[in-house]
Amino acid sequence: MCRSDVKNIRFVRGPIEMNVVQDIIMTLSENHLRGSINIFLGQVRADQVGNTKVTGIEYEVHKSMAVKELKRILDFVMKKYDIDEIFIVHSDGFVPTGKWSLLVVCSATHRHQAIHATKELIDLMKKHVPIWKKELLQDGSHRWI
Amino acid sequence: MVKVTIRLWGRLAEQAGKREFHIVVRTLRELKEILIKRFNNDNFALAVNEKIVNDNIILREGDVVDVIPPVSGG
Repeated sequence: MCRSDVKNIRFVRGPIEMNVVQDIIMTLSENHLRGSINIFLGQVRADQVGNTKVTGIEYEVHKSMAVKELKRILDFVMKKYDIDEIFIVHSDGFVPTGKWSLLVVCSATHRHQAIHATKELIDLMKKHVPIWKKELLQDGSHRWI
Repeated sequence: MVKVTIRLWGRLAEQAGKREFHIVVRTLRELKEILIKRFNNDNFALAVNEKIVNDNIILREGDVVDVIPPVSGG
């Protein structure tokens, strides 16, 4: 079981692209002692809001505090579930609906560790990491969520 | 009294129309009271030099205070 490394925590401007996902999966696959690589992608939903709908989300990130808090969460989750390695990528700025804004890739010996670690990491992230979301709506308005 | 930098985030920055400003104040409690009046709500945490502080402390010249509304990432 390893401690987390800040190089495994990334913020990207706008949507997360496929090549980022592929690179991380390929990196983790190089270790043949890993039996499970669990991948979570968060996609911006086109929710209906009253008579209008979401066209995208603007993410605001306090980067230095977010990295510190994510490292704390990753260390906790890695220890609790005996996780080998975790990568987390989160968007900063505008992400339109249908595009990815969160990537968590978690590797462990067995699948139940990786799946449960991913869930707890995201639950903790939503409560503690200084990131804010503003939904942009088709009618030109917006709301903070 | 000391001069500190206030950094606003999320809806608070939008409400204020700015990200950052300076204020002269003595303690964190005094600052919190000013911010509650300014924003007409107390639903935020305060971080001093990037550490969340819940107690009343005496601020120092040059401290940076982040005003953290409820987070919503992920």
